[in-house]
Amino acid sequence: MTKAVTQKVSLLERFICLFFIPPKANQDTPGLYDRIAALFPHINLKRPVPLDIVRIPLQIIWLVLVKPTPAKRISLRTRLGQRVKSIKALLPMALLQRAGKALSCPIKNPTDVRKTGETFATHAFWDHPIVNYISIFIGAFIVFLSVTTPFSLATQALFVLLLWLAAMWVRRIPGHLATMILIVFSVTASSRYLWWRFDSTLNWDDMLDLTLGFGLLGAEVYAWLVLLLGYFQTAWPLNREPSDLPRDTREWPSVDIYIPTYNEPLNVVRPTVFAAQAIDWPKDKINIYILDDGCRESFRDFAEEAGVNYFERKESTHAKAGNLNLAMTKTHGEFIAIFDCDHIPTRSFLQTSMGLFLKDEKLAVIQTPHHFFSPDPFERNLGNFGKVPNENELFYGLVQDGNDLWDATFFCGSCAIIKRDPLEEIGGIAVETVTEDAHTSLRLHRLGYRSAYLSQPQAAGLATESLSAHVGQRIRWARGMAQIFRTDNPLLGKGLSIGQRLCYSNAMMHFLYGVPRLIFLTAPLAFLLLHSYIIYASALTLTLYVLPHILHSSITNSRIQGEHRFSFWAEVYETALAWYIARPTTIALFAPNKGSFNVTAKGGLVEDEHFDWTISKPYLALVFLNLIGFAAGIARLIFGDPDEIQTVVITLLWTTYNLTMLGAAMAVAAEAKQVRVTHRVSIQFPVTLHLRNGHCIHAETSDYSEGGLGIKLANEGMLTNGEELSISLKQGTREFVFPVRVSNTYGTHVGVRFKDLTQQQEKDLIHCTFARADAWVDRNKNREKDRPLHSLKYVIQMGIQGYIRLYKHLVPRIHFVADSILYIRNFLRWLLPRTPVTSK
Amino acid sequence: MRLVAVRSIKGGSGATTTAAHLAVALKAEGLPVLLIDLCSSNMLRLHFGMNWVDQSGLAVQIEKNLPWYEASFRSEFGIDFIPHGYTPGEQQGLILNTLFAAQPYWLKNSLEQLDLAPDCWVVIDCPSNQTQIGSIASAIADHSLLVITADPACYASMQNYPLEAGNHHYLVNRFNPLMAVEKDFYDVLQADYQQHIAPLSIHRDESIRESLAYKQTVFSCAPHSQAAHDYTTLATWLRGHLPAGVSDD
Repeated sequence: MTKAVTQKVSLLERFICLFFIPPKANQDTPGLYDRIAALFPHINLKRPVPLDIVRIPLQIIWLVLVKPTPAKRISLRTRLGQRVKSIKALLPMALLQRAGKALSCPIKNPTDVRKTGETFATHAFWDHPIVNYISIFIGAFIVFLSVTTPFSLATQALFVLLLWLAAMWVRRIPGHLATMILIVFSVTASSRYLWWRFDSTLNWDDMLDLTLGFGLLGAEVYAWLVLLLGYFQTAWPLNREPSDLPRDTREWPSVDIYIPTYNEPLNVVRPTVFAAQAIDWPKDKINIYILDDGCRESFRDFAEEAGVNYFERKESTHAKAGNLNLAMTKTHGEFIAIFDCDHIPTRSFLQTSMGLFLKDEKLAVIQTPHHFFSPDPFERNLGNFGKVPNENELFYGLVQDGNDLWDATFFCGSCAIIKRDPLEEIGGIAVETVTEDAHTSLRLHRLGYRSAYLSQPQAAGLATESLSAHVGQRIRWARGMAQIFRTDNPLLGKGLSIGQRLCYSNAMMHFLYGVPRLIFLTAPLAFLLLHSYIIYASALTLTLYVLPHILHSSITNSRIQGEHRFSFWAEVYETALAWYIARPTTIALFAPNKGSFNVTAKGGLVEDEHFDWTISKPYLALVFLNLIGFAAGIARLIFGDPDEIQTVVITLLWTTYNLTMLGAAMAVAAEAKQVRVTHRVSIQFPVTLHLRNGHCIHAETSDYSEGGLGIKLANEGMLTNGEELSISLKQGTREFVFPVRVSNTYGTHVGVRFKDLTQQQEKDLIHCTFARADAWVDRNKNREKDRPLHSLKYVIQMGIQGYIRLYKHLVPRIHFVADSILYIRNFLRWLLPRTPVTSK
Repeated sequence: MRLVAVRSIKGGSGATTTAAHLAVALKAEGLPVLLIDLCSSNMLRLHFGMNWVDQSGLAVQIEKNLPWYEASFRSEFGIDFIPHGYTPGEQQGLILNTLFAAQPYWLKNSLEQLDLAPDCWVVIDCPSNQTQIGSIASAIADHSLLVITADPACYASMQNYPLEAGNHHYLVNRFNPLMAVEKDFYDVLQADYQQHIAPLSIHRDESIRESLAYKQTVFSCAPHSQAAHDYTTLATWLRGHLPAGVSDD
């Protein structure tokens, strides 16, 4: 902290000192110049601009009239926050201490209690199977009682309060048992809510009410089912460890690497092929195949240059599945590793995974995560790349790991290895549905084969480029999963264990969120527009039942998923996609053979910043409906039945929530401009700069893209623009040199572009960057943990952003006016005097 | 006390520079360091700004039968070193040789007599031509570094000097990956000597020569150079690389 101004400078002194040379400052008190500069915070006295002639007198007049504000004044909000925190911390403790005194066993301090609680909670005693069964039985019994017993309003209020306090306390205890307890609380609260809804909130007297009520209830049952299955699926992630391979490499099996491609550009496929060549595996036991469905000359030539095999296919029946199946007939490897053409593997991919195969005969599939080094449309258009975990992360970070416990990990189409014999046993990759990958692993599981998941990313690729491509991909997945659910239902048929049935069902049911989400988005309108009582209960009762349901599921999900998905983002993703997957999934459920396969586009360029009107039509329609509903609600407040005010308020709140989520979805539709063709990947490793004058500088890369590298130096001015030099990167003990030219300098950050690399140099570059074994290890270095309220605030901000962007794109001329107003406002802020901040 | 002996297979490979910078790197990690120059060329002191005309040093003390440790100096940056010293006439170069031949345990005993801190590192710069001094020093040392360069001449010399048993490592110095010969020979050395080669190399960096021109080390002249980083890595590696039977300080 710097020493602040300690004495008030008198008015006369200020005037006089403006004309005399200020004396030299000694070390403790700031010099006169500094004191005066503090009084003119918005003006740079050392570099005056012409308009300062106006600004300085204005500021002097202001200073005469207004006292400087003290700096140390703590904002009201902070003080309130501190007060609340101290109360919160005290409450359970105060109660506990009083209880302790009453029972004459004094409890010393909160840390002791917490420690005792933690030791109790994480004791090995809880791992004993009998203890497990007993506690599950007791838990189930308590849950059953608390769900079905009808309470009066007061009792319900008390129940809710007690449950809440208990959850707040348990929440602070780390460890698995505490998570289980939170799950029990959440299941209780949600089941109680649902029971109550069935029991007392359907209006049997009115046909319309009943129909709409059942519709909403159906959606709620779906949400409840998915919630429970989700807890089941993710409560115990397995965190499987890789196995060692035998020392003798002659015992290692042969592997074919398939890289299927259809219409992707060559520059997307090159790094994948080079990285596949860099995989550490005996050269005589690995074969790389480019499977080209598009029969392109450039690919054939490239395959020959690079020294990899090339297969082409004239007809494209069954798309990727057909491509893979044809390649299987022409190759002989014992194992098949499949990479999408833009998924770049690391060199350790095979050595990490294959050990598991050799340990377990029945293992047929190993899946590794799909890590994206480029932002998906949500991250790019909302600007939260790196700050908020993306949609994929929940699945690859937690869900698959949870599946792994139940041996229900399913194949995801890329970054995986499949054993050839079991695959041939089921007749190759499944072609009946459009999600051929999940269907294939379902069939393998039915035959009794096992699967495994390794949660460390061993490959990274491109995310979908634009929102429309993203939606297209999700539609395909949703349609495929619904098709499988209909034709090869995991709950029926033989060969699967209970855990597998539940996990697969949850994976498929997850994609049926289209219709329920749409129901949630339009439900409040039933009351506001049609005056239909879809929930036949008073507002207070509804609050007492709904609030714990929402709060407990938020807390528990935040606890379980916090590292991989921030609170309230699931609603944003679902809202954005609900309309699009509603129809395909419904059709697929009833007529699974209808529907066509559309390929996900990869490697395109978003050329212009624009608002995707086509994609956002459904959002706009829903926003329009909700706004009408909102207006109707306001009208009811003013002119309607005074008894209904509470209900109207609650419904309006619900509508606001829906509007916020729709706003966030629209924010994603405003596509941000993509400036460069090649993606900038944040990747840090040491690099040596060899200058022309013989000096070597040690530096670190900050990011890498296909044509160049971003380097962070220790000081400014070490390199000049246009300078030519060489850089060397280490890969193990070998060092590779690349000629570069400096393309831009910005402070300590320097951008260099590679100069005409030969193919060998390109290969070396991939080996040194993407193919490093530790390339993706610290991808979550700067990730913060989930904070539910903070996340809610952020989502609300995104919602508001959505409306602002809509407005900006809607009326360009008014946009210009708004900009002018902004400009004038900024100018006035610059010109007009400002109160300086000093501390006493 | 940990003892490091630094010598080169072939003269001019840069053992003196390596010893000087290793000492500075260890000092920068907060360890007490003592640097001793056993080379008659008396070059080590020049990295620490010692006056040209000052001829004092170890050999001078021994010749005059004075306590050898009194010829110690502290550089501007806090490095303690004992230069070899310059004795005119034909005695130059032979004093230490004769001493080591007559009393092979002189070095060990003398170091034990000094009141060194338990975590002190003693770095000894051994001559390349008087191999007896080098072998004695490396025999009693906890770590022995043989400085080599990745080129055909050095590789040929290495064939005549089989690596003795013990905690010896080859350290590749002046490595310039831009030159094909160096890259290739580095790979050959890795293949031939595997774990006997230190897992890092010191890059060829003009900063080293330039800092000697200033009579300083790269740590003060060019702290962000690759050479400085390499020497720091060398120090870290040595600290972590415990010889058999020695516990961590």
